[in-house]
Amino acid sequence: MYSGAEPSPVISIDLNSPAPAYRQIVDQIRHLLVEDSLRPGDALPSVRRLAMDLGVHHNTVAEAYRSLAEEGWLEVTQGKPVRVLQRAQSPARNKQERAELQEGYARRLRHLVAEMKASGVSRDWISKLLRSISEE
Amino acid sequence: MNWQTLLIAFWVIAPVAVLMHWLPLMRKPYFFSVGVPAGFAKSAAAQPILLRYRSGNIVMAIVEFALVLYGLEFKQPLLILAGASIYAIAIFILQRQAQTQAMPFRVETSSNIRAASLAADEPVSWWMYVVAFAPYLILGAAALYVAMHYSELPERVPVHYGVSGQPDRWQPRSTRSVFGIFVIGAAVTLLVSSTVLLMIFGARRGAYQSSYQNRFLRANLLTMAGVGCGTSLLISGIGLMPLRGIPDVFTPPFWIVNVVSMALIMMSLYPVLVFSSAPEESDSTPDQYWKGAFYSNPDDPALVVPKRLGIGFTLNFAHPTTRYLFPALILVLFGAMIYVVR
Repeated sequence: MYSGAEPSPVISIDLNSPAPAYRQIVDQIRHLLVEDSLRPGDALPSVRRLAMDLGVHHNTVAEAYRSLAEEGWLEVTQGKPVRVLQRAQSPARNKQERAELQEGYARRLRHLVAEMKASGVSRDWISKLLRSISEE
Repeated sequence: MNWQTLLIAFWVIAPVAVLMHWLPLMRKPYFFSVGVPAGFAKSAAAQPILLRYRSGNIVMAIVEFALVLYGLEFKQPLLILAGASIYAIAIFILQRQAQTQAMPFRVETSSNIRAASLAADEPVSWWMYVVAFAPYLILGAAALYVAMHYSELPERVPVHYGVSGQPDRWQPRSTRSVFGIFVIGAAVTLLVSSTVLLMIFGARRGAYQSSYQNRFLRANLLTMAGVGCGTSLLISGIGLMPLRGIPDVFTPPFWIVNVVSMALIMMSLYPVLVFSSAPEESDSTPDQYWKGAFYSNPDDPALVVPKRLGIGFTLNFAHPTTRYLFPALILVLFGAMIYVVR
């Protein structure tokens, strides 16, 4: 059915999740990019095709692709296939922008850790998890 | 009224009525498009619903039979169309009633977990294009053959045949009278190839190559290949008939083409029937968007989805493209039907 020799990566979203669908798509594609399951030059499905396969609105997928394009991961041009870019490790940003970005990550991580603690996850397990994820 | 007219009316109506009898149970997790527990169709709760629908089906098939018979006997094509239309509307109403009655027994079959492949390409292989366009090639080759032998055609050519294969209407030889049948063939082929292209580009694909959706799509494309090639073979055979002169007796080639094309169409139903039972994964079409055999979900970007009632795919009637596409397809279909029954 698909022409690629290797099986293509699969993403899955949960429509019941409190996280918006576009955010779930962004997070999963970014994960695949970081772990090299998607490489520079790889083509992704069109907005129309991915929206249809997931059964979500076109705007949801368009928003996700736009977000990844802004991060420098994807090339999204009207009428052309969406492609993975050779992304510089740190896209051109000044010092203040980088500080704001890092503060944003720290805030999201604090919220997540607080949520984990509230649901009874131990501090020890959280620190081990954070270390192992950062070393992946 | 002769026995032949009776037989024609019976063979046109009976297979559809039998199909309608079984249609609501053909895709196993669904009962009249409603997701139900396993074995529900045999339960005591399901019996009155089935009985009411099936007896309604028989009564309406008899009404249609009477109208078609009258239409055939007194050469009133509008009555034949009226019979078919009344039956189609009645079946829709009966199925909607049964669906409403089955709703209290519904179980959730559509999942909120959605998976998709990140493969860039459409689920297209070269053979799928062959499926879409082979019927045109068959028709084109036959039309070309007739054009090359145009001077050998008789001065008066048959333009309409009875079911026994005998011509019953004639016209002077002209481009229209000789090639009209190929135009009709192209219209029917347009319907088949549009359906194939809709299935390739407008249906959800499965996350994995071996997903149920992908296997179901392939099976349906094989069926469309049989239907498309069978129909264009039959029409090409009819288009080639005038080259045989003016047959006034039983004409074997007509029957050969007829039997071969019918066999091809019947055989091609097999793969779809194999896949008509339980899908292994959710079809991502929530129950509330099914109205009998029709699917209408404005939030679903899919143009066609696998049917829950019967076999094959159906249009998403809430999709903006369907507003233009559906009337266009219906016009082509009715145009061809009116030509045939005239």
